[in-house]
Amino acid sequence: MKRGNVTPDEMLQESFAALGVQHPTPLAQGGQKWVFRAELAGQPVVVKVVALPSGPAGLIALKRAHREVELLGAVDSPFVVKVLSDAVEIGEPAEAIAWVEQFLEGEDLSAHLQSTWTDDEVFGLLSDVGHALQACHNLSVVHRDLSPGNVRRLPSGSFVLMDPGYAKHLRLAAITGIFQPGTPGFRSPEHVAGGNPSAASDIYSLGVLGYYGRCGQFPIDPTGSPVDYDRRLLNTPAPSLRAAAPDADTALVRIIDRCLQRQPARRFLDGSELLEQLSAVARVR
Amino acid sequence: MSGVIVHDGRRPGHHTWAVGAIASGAANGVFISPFSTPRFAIPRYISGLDFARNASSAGGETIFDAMTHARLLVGSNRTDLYDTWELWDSAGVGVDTPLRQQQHVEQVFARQTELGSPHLAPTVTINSVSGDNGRYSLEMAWIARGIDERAWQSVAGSREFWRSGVSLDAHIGSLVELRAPVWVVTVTNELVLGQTPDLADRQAYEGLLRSIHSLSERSRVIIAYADMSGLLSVGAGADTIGAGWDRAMRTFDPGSFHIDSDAGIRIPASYVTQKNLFAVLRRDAAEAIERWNVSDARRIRGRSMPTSDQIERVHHLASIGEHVATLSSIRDRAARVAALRLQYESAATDFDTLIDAIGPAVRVADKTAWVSTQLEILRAYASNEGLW
Repeated sequence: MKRGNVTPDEMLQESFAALGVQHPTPLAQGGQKWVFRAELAGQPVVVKVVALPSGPAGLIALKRAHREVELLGAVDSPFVVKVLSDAVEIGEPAEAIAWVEQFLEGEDLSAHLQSTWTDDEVFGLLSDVGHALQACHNLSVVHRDLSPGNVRRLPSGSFVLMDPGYAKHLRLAAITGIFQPGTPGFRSPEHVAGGNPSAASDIYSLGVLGYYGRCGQFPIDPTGSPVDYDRRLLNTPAPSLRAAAPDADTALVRIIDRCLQRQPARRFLDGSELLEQLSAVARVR
Repeated sequence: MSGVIVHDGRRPGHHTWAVGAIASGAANGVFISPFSTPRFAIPRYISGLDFARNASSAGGETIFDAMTHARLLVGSNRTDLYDTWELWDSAGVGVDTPLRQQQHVEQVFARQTELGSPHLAPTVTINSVSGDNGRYSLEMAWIARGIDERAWQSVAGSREFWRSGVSLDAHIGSLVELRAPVWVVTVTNELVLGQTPDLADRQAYEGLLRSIHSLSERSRVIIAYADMSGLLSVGAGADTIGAGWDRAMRTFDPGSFHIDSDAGIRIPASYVTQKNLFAVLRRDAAEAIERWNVSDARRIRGRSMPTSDQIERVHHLASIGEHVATLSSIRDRAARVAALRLQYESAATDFDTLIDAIGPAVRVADKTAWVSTQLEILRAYASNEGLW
């Protein structure tokens, strides 16, 4: 399909040229977003290209892509994927936007959640992603879509947070909204329409990841209609990890259970608070 | 510091009584309200600064509460003393613009600094979390935190706000992010008529206790305008109660901020606090209890019969303060709830005995107003928290 004056292939080639990357090979494509592995100055990198739809939706996609790159550029943490270029607009007017990110070995968590994890593995996830969230939250940035597809497990066993495409600055946006990001199963009560995801919402989603990793179940069942799922998120207290994993470490149970408190005020409020607790039980790495 | 803070009032003698209560150990400090105390001395009123100094000399804490949540209520116009404080700047009265919010917070903090009061951020009454005031309250709170990271914060809401369930929890979650060292919490009434606590909206008070529980996990919580019924909040984690001897000190009475209000007789009788009934009964009822059984009357009352209203004022504050001290010394939440439950159940038993022995001097309605309703609210809150 031809977009405006260029074909997708021309758009991609123009993106690679504008970014100065070589040897691109496709990694993934979803919707209007392409992900390539390529080389930049001899180093492996990831190239992301987002085609912009025409009209207002295109402006929104453009702003979101710029925001993703700007936020990634502002966050400096070994536990958050690094952005290596500015966001480059392709075409005049812009028909696509493209940028370069650090290439990470390993796989996202979707590939690792087929079997249950050990206490140590879950503590490692909490610690590494806790560091990532601390770096984001210190800048008043909320990820808002913490889910298996957005956390990569490296061959070393450490975890890195990716794709803050829905991230936002806490106090630079409307208080509430109809559209809410988030991945079913990993959403917090504040992700329900009308809510306002905060740093504590990221903590909830991380708690879900840890809970699922440890016992292979969701604390709040996401199946059925979205309305029913939302109702459960709002009204149902998450069961203790102890019930689903009777042999889990007591400190881990306490931490996960607190992450999954229905009321945000009862959770760790941000990555720093979570790390403090992990440190108190000597589980920060 | 924890215990009892005396709310401000306009009655002649108020300032002397309040400082005296601190000196006697019955109170731990005073709230200064711009509606009740002028910034500068005028006939019949000492200045706010002198009031603060006197309270401090007596060993008490002074908290200047700007009462913006009262000033911006529809019909709030008792501003003769309020205006002496000049709490609004060039942008005018209101919190609907960032400039007004900032100017107001700065003016309030400046007055508090003059008085040696902690910086307590002003707030507005919230009816609905999704309404304008829900947003303004958060915006002002963040401005206050930006000016003084350690500023105390306020939350004031109507029953509608406190009963708003998930929305309330989300709002409290946003407030907790402020990491304020102290929260001053108020239930604002739309109308106050009687002398007994109005806790009929069980759902609202359960929401209040749930919220205090959440706030108290990281901060001190002062429950303002609560008096004896504030002990429920102490059961949920608050450590200090705003109390007093007049109706407008014991509950948030919107009529007291309105010069044209006709809320009926405000002091219809003489009263005696019955510490272990968690109640304030008319003096004729107190006399009937005394005639029934002198030793039980003293046990129920907590000390000897006050021989004047001045002694009753101190007795009242001391009774609340003793309950607060007992509960606050229990750190474990379940144990604290259990202690309060036991005390309420004991009071209910005493009420039953009195109703049988000397009714109608003591009535079932008294038991309902002072104990039974509180016990129901405590049960609802604690059951949901797994503390019952």
